[in-house]
Amino acid sequence: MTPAARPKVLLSVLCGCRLMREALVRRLAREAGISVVASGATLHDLLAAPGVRNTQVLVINDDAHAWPMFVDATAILPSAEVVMLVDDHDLASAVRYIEAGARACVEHSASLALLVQAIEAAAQGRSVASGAMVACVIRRLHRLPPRKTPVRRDGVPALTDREAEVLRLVAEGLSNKQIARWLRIKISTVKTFVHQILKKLHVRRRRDVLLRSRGIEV
Amino acid sequence: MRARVLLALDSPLLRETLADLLAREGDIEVVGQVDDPVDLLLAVEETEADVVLHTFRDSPELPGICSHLFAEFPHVLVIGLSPDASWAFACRQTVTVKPLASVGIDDVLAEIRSACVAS
Repeated sequence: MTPAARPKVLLSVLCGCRLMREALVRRLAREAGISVVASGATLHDLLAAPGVRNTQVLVINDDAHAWPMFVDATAILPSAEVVMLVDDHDLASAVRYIEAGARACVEHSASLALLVQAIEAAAQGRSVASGAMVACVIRRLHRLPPRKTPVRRDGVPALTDREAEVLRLVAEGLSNKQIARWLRIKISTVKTFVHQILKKLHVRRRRDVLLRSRGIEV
Repeated sequence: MRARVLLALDSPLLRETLADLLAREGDIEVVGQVDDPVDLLLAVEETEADVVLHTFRDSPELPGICSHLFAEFPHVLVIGLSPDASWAFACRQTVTVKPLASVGIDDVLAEIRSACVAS
């Protein structure tokens, strides 16, 4: 679909600084692909706007009171994708917003074009970020402990290396056929492995393996 | 006569956004954009600006940017917005402090136009 044929992104802006808010609203409203439905200094103001419930993308400026507003806004407008405007000197808090579900964080040093891109991408569930922001997220990921696999839970027999490998592919959502092709083994062998894994993990369905591998109790 | 405005804002995003909006006003011309207090002092002279819109905090290299602007360019309207964006003031000879909650883009436009009328 061409950008012209795509419906406009319904945007709301939450920003405590009036000048910043008004400038953003007026400028973004000029974008062909964006329609501003609500804006406010506080969540209370924002929610008073008639069109606010249709918000697809919510831009929040990360000022002093932004965190509780972010938390409340995501609870009240669960279908809205959030794009945060963040301070360049505080990219760590940007990571906090991303971890909490923000679709994108755009720094104040970024261009207006990047902000527009991030808004339009967020409406489609995609993320756009500057190189600095990506680097910041990578640094954060490096500091995380390695992803836990459920193979060494107490009372659960450890999986063999091959089983662990199959488990990883199951957790990624591959079918038995795809796993067989990937590992260059017979589909019947894959089925045997999957059966063993389910037995060792005390779960009945593949879907539960997927959840458990993400640390969710089933 | 068009008001010649120099933008000296810390936030590049706000600077670009305001520059774009002001440029659409028929009676306002954005004559420059700077991101450093020293560049600002040079640019005021070079661009012959009527209005300076700035958000610079006091820097160790150049404390009191407003005093410098007042002393060297008494005819220029200086609209200062605090760096933490919590308050703003418009000033010529005296300084009036306004909370930013009450300063919107139309207030800024009105201040810019008042400078143009005065000169």
